[in-house]
Amino acid sequence: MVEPALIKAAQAGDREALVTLLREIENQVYRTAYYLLNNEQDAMDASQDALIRIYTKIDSYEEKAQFRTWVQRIVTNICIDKFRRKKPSVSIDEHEMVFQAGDNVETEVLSAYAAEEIREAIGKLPEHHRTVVVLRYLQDFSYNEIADSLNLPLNTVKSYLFRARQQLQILLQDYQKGGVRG
Amino acid sequence: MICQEVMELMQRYIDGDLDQQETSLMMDHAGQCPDCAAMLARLQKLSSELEQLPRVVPKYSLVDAIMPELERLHAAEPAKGTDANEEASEPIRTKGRSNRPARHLFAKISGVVAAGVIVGLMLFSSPDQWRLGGTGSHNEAAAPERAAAPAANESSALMSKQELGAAPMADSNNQEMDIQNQVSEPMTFGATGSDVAPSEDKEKLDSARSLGGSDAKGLENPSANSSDRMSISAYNAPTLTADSPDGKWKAVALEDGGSFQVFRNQDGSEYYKSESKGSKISLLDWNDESTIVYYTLTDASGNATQWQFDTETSKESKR
Repeated sequence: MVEPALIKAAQAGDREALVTLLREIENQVYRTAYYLLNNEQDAMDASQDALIRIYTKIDSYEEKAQFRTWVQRIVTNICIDKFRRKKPSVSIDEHEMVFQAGDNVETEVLSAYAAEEIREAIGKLPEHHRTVVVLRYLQDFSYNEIADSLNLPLNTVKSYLFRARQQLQILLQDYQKGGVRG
Repeated sequence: MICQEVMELMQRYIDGDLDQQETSLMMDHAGQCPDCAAMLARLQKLSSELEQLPRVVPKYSLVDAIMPELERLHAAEPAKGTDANEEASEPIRTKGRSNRPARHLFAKISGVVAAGVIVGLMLFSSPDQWRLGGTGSHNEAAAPERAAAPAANESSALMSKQELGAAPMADSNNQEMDIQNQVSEPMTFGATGSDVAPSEDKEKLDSARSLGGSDAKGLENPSANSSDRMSISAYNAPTLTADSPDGKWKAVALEDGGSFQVFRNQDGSEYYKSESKGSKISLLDWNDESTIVYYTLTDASGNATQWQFDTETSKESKR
């Protein structure tokens, strides 16, 4: 967690404090960008943009918000802009979300998905679902923190997160079936 | 209770959002409904796998990568209002004097030469020590350039002299402008330096003497005024300063004079003045408790010895 005193110093114009602060958050900024963009180079570019924006906008941060949610808002906005420009997101139709029970559920449950598969599956989610999942699992944010970061109502955050998990669960199930049965 | 409703409970359960009653409601249903039980197991597995996703880190420091851009932004931006703080912690500094030229040079040099030094200093400096920490690292950062470019060396020496000696001397605006110009254009100073050298040199000697006291014998050596650039550089370059971590003390050393002084930052008064060591003095640094300042003496044959001065006992001793 970034020390409030460091943030204050940075806002007061202490440039070295600001640079220290950027160093403290660069990994968490990158992590979000990496899982949102699913590409190392794009993530490096987006993170650098985000850090520069934080550098120039530090004055606009207000204490009533958590610093880390403010940071994540900046990086997610940049990433969403980036992948909107790049490709239209693939959406999964609502009706596929309906609960499905597999026939041999137990064996599927028992086998582990590789992190790579999960990352690919996250990449297939619509942008808001993807963002919510990344904040929930890569930043360990609560519902409220996600809502603050994305400026969304709490119920919307929950519904995105729940749907995202259902989608992921289906995607990974399909993936596995495809892998196992050709 | 239908499965669709339980789905939401299971989702919230995974996030630790259910109270006890809701939990038992969900568990009761899952106990009777194999489909929901299987779904719950899958969601839990998915969630734990998501939690275990690798915490990837960038393959190089992003802040280092954007440093040039930050420097550019910083240079384009007017100074922000920390001057008040800096003056409060730095009473020797003349009020109204701009910090910016010094900070810019520091920023430029350090950005290229010693990003690592800055990081180290940042970690160990409290926020209000910034400018002071910067002065220290400037000396270190400038060292390699000193060897490579005597001309740049002179201007950096001027800068530290400006910081240290300017306040008591109450120099005029014109002089300040000259100094600032030279500081901002270190590489051209060598070319124009010969024009201003005589008067500047005398001034530098005066200010240096006021810092080093009468012990700075080397400065009275006539060769300082000769046209031998190397010897002039040697006299001018190394005025080292180090502020204690608690901000109470400032240690100042004339490298070639081989002496150092300790000032109280509160009122700028002198607390201690060492004998001349007849050796080069370097590496002024404080312990974390701000009670001991460390320095290194290097004699003519290049043998270095480590020393310390304890402000509590006012004693110098070998380490």
